Amino acid sequence: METLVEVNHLKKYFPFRKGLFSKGYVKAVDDVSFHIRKNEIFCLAGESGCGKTTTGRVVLRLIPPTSGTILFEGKDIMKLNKSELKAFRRNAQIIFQDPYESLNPRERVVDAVTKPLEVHGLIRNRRDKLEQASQLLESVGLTPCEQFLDKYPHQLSGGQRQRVAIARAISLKPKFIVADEPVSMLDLSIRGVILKLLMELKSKMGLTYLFITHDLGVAWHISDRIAIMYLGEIVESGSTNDVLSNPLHPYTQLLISSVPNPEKPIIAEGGVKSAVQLEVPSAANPPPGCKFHPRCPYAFGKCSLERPQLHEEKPGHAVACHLYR
Amino acid sequence: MEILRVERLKTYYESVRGTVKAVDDVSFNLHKGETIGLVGESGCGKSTLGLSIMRLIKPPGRIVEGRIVYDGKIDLTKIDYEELRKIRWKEIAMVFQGAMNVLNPVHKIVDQMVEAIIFHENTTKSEAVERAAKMLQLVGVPIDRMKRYPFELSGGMRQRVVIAMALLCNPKIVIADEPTTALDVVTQRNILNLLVELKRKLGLSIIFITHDISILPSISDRIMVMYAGEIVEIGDLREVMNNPLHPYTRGLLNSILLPLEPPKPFSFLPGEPPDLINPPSGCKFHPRCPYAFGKCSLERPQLHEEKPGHAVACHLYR
Repeated sequence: METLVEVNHLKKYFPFRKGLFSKGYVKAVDDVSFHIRKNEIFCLAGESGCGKTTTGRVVLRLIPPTSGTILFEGKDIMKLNKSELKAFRRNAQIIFQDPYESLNPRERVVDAVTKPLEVHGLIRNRRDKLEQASQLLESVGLTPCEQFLDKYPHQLSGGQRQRVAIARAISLKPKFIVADEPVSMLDLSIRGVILKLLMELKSKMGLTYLFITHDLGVAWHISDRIAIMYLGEIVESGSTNDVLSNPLHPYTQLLISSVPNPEKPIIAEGGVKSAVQLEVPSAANPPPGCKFHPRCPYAFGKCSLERPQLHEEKPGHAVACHLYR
Repeated sequence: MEILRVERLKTYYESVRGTVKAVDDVSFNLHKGETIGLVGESGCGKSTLGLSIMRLIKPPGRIVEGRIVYDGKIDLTKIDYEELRKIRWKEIAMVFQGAMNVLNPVHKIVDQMVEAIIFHENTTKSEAVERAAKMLQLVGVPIDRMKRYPFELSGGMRQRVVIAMALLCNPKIVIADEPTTALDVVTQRNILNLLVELKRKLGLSIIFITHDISILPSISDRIMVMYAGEIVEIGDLREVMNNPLHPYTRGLLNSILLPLEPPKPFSFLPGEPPDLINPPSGCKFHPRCPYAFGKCSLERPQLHEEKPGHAVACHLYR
């Protein structure tokens, strides 16, 4: 299958002041490579602070990378000329996590969903705008659309707001959408309907998603391939089926076993463990070698010394861990 | 043995648009040493119920009607501030949602804990420090973190500190309001483990409030499902999970997505949670219910015991 997005050795460091004169860096994304095939859902999963959101933003050129390249349809997005960049902006869109913050509270639904069209000069007149807005609302299931056109975000529920945000993202008929935790702020009873909508739009419009989530249940049901991130690095990647049903990296194993499962409740192991070993280290001061080694039950000598490289352990299933190879 | 009984409690908020019936005629009891999991979606009134029991409802909200009976004798809705001080934190404590907002960012952990102890009890400062240290140890926070500021701790560590603070005055009941919501799954599991362990060690009774029904089996003995200010189902954990009666509970359970389970179509409930100012008539769930029939929009169903230890408020039964 054709590759739509290719990310090579991407790094994004954020500087912070350590002392009066010294500077430190939070390595939010630290040498990450992956590719996304046309018409697939590629999932970036990991805990908060692992760099998945930053990766999504760099891939859209919302923030520049520190180093590394991002190819969209074979072209380096940091080297596009003006008209190419405009086309890229049309083709690549984003849906944010929090529909309470991603919509301008003073903007009516009709203006919110047609804003991208307006920016790209694709609206002829007032009537055209209304027509396009109505069509967009219909395609995200906000019907009858007359009921929603003139509303402000605060008059809508969370699910409705997220639909408006989705309508805005698809308004320019993009090829690629970064969906950054699009359902994690929503109530359980309406989560399913938004996921279903995203899937329907994907097949109807031939979309490709970079789906960012911390929820492995959602990832399992929605994505074709997955990459697990830990402290700015991809520790495992492959088809969702392979990675989640046969996880190789101890961190992936820990994540999967921690998902609350109503059928298999967690049973207290007895005794309060010291919280220290259970903590995620700070991204500003990550451990040397494999960043997971202080929490890893299988860590051995090499793990604290040498950073393991992501390598294909089985066809299409890569892992960055010294236990393999 | 019963330690807390809530009877026909109504807590309303006045707003310019009208009265928000956040808790609307809720009755249940909590046994000694038991954990009740209170589950519901955002805006269903579950936090208001918790705050009502703590008597922390501030205007424009107020407890309109009903009784909250602690230990068989004290009606918490009737007592004055002085009596309340003897109960709040010492008998009933609360672990709030969002550990970062609960702790004071400009004070060291130890100072905040000592202040709380001295406010409630006649102790010297050194005794209070000792007790704070002991409590932190109990929840798995290393002693050296005592002298740190909240922002220097990780999310999981902060949540542990908040739990330690709730336990400072040895309460019998702990109301935990979404204590793991902002946390990652691994940290969440550790905090749940901690709560189960503390309950066993200290003999606590816990009301565990959450929007995530999938974590309840790990923590609770009974489940209470709330929808639009009312309890729609209550029963033993296993019974409710294996044999949910209310269509809302079933909808919630069907909506859970788990890794490794066989593929299934995305399940959801149609529509949106109702507006609590103008809730639907009759059963408040009827506009979203796949089984609704004539009676449902007319008459409010009463919570009744359908099986021993399993009650439901739905016209489909009886």
